[in-house]
Amino acid sequence: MALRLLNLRTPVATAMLITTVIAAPTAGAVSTESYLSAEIPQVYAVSGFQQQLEQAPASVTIIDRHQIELSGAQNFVDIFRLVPGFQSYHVSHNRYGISYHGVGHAFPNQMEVRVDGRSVYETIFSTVNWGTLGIELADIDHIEVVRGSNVPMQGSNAFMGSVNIVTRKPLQDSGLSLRGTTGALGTRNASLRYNDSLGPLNYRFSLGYQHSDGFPPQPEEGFLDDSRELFHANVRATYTPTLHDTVEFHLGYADDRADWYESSSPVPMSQSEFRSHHQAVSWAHSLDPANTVTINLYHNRLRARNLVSLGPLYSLLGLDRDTTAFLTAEQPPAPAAISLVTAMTGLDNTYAATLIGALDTDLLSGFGNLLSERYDLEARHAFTLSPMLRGAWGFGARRDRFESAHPFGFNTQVAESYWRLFGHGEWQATSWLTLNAGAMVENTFVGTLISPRVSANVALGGGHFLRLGHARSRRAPSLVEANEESIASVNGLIFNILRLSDPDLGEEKLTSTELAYQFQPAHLAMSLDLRLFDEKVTDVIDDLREPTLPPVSVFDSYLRRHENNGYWRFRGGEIQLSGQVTAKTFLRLHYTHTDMNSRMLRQRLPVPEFMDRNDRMARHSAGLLVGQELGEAFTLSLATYHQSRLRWEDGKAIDSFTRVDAQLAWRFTLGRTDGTVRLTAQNLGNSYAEFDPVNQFKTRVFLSAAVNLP
Amino acid sequence: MSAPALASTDMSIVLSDDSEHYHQVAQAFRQAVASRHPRLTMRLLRSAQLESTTLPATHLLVTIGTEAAVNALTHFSSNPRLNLFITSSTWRDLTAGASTPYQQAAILVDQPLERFIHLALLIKPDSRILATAFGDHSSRQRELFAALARQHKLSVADTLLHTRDNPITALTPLFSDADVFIAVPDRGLFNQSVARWALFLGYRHKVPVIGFSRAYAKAGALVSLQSDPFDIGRQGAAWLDRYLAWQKVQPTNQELFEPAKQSEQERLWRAFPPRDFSVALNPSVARALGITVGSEDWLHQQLTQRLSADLNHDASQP
Repeated sequence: MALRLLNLRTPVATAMLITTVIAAPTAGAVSTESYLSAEIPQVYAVSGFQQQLEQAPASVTIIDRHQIELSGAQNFVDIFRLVPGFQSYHVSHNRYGISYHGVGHAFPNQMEVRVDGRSVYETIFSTVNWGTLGIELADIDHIEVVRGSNVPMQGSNAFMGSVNIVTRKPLQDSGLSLRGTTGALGTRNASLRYNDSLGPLNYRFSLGYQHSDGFPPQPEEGFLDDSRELFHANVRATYTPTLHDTVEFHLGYADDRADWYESSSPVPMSQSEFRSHHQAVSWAHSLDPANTVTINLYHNRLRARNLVSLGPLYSLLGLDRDTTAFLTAEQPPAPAAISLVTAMTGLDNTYAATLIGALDTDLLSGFGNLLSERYDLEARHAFTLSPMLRGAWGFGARRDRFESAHPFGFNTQVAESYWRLFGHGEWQATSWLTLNAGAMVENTFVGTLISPRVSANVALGGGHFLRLGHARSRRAPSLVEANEESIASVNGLIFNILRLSDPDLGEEKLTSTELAYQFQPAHLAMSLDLRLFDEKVTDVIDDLREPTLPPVSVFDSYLRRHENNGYWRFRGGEIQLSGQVTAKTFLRLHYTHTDMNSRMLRQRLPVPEFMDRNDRMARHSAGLLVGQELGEAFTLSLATYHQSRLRWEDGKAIDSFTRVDAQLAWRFTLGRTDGTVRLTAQNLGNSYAEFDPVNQFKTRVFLSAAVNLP
Repeated sequence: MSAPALASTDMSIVLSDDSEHYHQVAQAFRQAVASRHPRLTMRLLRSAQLESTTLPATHLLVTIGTEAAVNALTHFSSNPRLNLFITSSTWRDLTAGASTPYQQAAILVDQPLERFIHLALLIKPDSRILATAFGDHSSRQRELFAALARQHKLSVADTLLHTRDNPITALTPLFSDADVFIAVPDRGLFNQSVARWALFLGYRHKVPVIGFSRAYAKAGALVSLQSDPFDIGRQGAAWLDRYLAWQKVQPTNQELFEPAKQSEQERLWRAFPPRDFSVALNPSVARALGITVGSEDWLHQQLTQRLSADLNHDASQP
């Protein structure tokens, strides 16, 4: 049996993978030899049990700690530019848009992100709030990225793909680690990590602080405050009462004061505050080497606040102070004033009186005060019936709720419960053919959704593998997509209608067919992965523009209504080559070509108008990462990323760009203390724009140091 | 499922299941036998077919894997059997209370303990303390491990892990003073747990771990020691040479009790450690632990030399 060389180079990055490597695949009383020649399972998130990459029903990219360090990544945007098919961008300096395929916009909503199994998809924003994940990049052990719909395993939010971030276990490190980064954009980052044990409990405690001034101001745009002040703390603990049981605890808190970009707002960039905390516990119980039951329970809570002063209502209506003083001289308003306003606006007397009473009111825009909360419980049973047949099944329940409070806007409370049942199996039908089948059944507020997936994986011999896969996925709308009523009013007088949800909003539908090829040469630590895809999405939730007739029109005269009115089709291919070229040289290369064909109803009235969003996705993207060890102490690395021209939804048209980053790292040891110093330069060429021309990415230089004390 | 009687066939190869490594053993065995004894006929069976198969009592069964070995013992205990690719623990189970001597041999897949100890001294020549953990089944090797360590003037820090023990609490003290941790194979859950936590603890305490499969080295052990399924198959074919030679001069029942004949039989009907082995090295771990070791080939060569010079090492091979 040819053993595959993993791309994971961090010594213990893969230790978690050995849990089933060493397991005899049969539950027989005396069967003990299989573990001696077992392959290393590499992926977990696709089917809920450990699988070889070439036997999984989807394409998976693993980004490990070594690659993150080599890339010089300063944030998640940098990391996901290492993955083919991903659109990864700065909506503003501290707000990231990260998605797999799909239209690139400020709130990419079709990709699931989990941290140690806990979903961090925020239903209140219909996306991931990366700032409040509460983890340092240095805490990450590896990231498992499922390229393609993973609804059959991870539910609605994994519509186009999923990201599974696995942090380091408490036992992986010891003592105290201190890290610091300084450099461009006023960056001042510091973090502390301490690993120890408390009786039988092994724990890791992390604290982090980040500050940056954001993108440099553009003279023509005036000052846009997109700075950040982030503090976070988290604890991860492991308790292993017996050989059968492993219990993990996670606690976290994050306080992020950062910019908020909202293109439809009169003040598109404003400061906001996010506070989140979470608690999670998981218990894995091995009944025997072939059967493990895992129970996960977690709770997320996020509070967000964003209120921006627009000034008094009269100024927004174009009235001057004197006129306003005249109109409001008497309370209740004088009949003459009411008559004047009635004549000016066409409002009836009651509305006119209300308007006069509100003229001096200072209006606030922004999303207001939001609260999002989730409880999730899942039980899963992973089993091996024979060396040829294994799988996992489970069920889960989720409670999502949000509250929105705004002095002049969206005020509501919504809560929904969801149930899910899933099952996946892998059958090695012959020595060359592996069949996978699985499905997710979700009970949601839009009905019962069934998302099946099948694949046939063929081993061609000599390390060559083919996979033909087909999936049909359903995505329930997020709570906010289904319940939004952003209506701006003052004293009951509506002056703007921003967004409304269609009361009949339903699920989005995806049909995906793929042909994938992998090559894993037996004697090279390299792997090649090619994926050809045809993904058709119907009933896409998109914004329909409707003329609005608020009593008082302060801003534009259109509202956006969330409707199932879009159609997308993505066809193309992506390729990645990754691994050790030599013992001292690492290479990662990827390229994606995507053709998008789309159609959506732009407006229904006064006459139906259709449009496409074909330019909302980069047709070409590519990345290259090369790391070269120079002797024992130094490593030089180079990362480049290219993206072709596109027009971001909610953003602007952006020219194609190629970014080149370089880094020199120095490792040192002083007695029992070791550490690393890194000098990182990002974008060595000319400036380019991220998402909006106002976000000019100029050359950035960072100096970072890490010290590990015993 | 049923299979015809195999009276016209010289031997049957019985697979535990269709796992790739069992097929690799069978493939190597068949190729080697075919090249040496082209007139011998062989038939491939699955373990589950044995129940409904009839065989003459002299028919040789070559089993691959534990399940096939157990089924062959159950249904054909009087037949001569060569069990390939089983562990020493399984061999002990198979031979416990055996009433029919001289009918069963094995080519084991797990490595003799002395190989691990020599390898520990190769990667850390100044080692003073070896750490290891034993489970319910491997505990039978505890005294042997200590005795072998003493011969090399080494101390042992070990623990006996039962299923109700906290593995981290039990393993952590072993790593505080140990120079090398040697993972001794046991049964499934024990192996899972020790592998998972020993690798983390080894990295945390900068103590190299020696594993018993290539997967161990991939996952974070500094080195691992293992035998290839193809090697086991070829070694099985070499045993067949001796078996065929012995068959020609097979002793009568009376001769069976003659010391010389008995000795000859004992040399044939026994368990043999794997003759060939490989060493897998994880260079990233070596760098992380600050340990300078040679290449995999260098380690293999050095280990082979040391074992040749070690009078305790079982050099009798089929």
